[in-house]
Amino acid sequence: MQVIIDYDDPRPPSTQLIDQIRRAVSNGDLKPGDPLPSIRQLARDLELNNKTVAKAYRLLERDLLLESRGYRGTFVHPDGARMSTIDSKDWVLNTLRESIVACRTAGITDPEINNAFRILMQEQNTEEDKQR
Amino acid sequence: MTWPSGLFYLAFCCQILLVSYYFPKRVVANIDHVLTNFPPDTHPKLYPGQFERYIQAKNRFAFVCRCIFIGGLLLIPALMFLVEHKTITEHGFISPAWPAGYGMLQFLPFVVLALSEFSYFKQMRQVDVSTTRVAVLRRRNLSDYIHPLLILGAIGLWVTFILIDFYVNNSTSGWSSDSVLRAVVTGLTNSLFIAIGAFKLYGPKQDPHQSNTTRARLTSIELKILTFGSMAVSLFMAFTAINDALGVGAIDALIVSLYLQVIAVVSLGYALRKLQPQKQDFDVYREYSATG
Repeated sequence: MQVIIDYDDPRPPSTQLIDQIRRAVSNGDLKPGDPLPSIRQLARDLELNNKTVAKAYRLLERDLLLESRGYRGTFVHPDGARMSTIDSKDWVLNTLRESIVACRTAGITDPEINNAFRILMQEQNTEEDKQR
Repeated sequence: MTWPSGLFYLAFCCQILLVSYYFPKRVVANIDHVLTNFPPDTHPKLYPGQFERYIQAKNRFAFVCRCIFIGGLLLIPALMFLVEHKTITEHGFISPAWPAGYGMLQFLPFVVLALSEFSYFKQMRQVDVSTTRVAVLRRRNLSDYIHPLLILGAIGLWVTFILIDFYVNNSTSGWSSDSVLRAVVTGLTNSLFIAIGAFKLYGPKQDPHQSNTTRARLTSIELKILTFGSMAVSLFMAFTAINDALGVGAIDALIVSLYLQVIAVVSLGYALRKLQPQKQDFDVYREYSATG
């Protein structure tokens, strides 16, 4: 099972990596419990920054496609195959769509919705920074 | 001429022929095969620099090896003459420093050739315009490349050598004894082998066009060479330790010469046998290959 990163692709390398791992888990090329290369190994092989690969792994762990087992490394999550069919992007779009429809029904204008969204994102980022 | 001297001259002749004639001849033949069958017209990625430079490098290597070979042939009668006049003997025997020193000189062109690979691949990476990078989504484990029993064998041999050394030499003189020194030297040598092995296994890919299959095959060969080398070092040191204990200085030079030949066979011989250009995939060096 190979991953190919194209620097000319408009999508960032971490997104390309996430998509290919997701597809491999979904296709069964990567089975539950299969070990993945270490962040450093994959970053070296793909000539990427360690942080880029770490970010991809972190997002896939969040989506329960991968799981980290401490010093033993990263593995495909036991529920990985099932979770790979759930598209988090679709879920985000649906959730936001519902919220926007609710706001508009209540008579809130688009600039007000945009402003509220920006304020909430800023609040979340500040909270995350504090936690770090 | 005593029988140990006679055996030494025979072994030394073999050492000269093997390391400075036979192996260089095969290396040059391999380079010639690549230069002839995969020229820059069809395989431009193989030559990041000017084509003439590679021909010159090959000729330089062949010339240096030839000089060392002739030097070795001249060294034999010179040694015979000097030994006859007892000017270079150590306790009445030929010093092992002669085959060891000459052996180092013999291996020098191969070491330079191996090190020049780094600048060659660096140049290759600099001119590489491909925008895609490929990696295998699989963790690289040592046991995938080399049988664990071989590794255990090398470790076992090292431990056995240390035990034998301390047993036969009754090392009670603390940290300054020869046995401790030998244990430290072999420990450092093995550490260097481990570092090189780790670099080959986990380090970055040197050749940007190399396929992952080829890389895996090369890594396996390189790790095996390092393991065989470690085993040869342990065996040589064990012989040296026993020799020290028995006080048979007469065969010291013979053992060193044989040891160098074993090292040459397990490293150069093994690599040349496994890395024949006929078995390599040179299609990745074509202008437009499938791997980019």
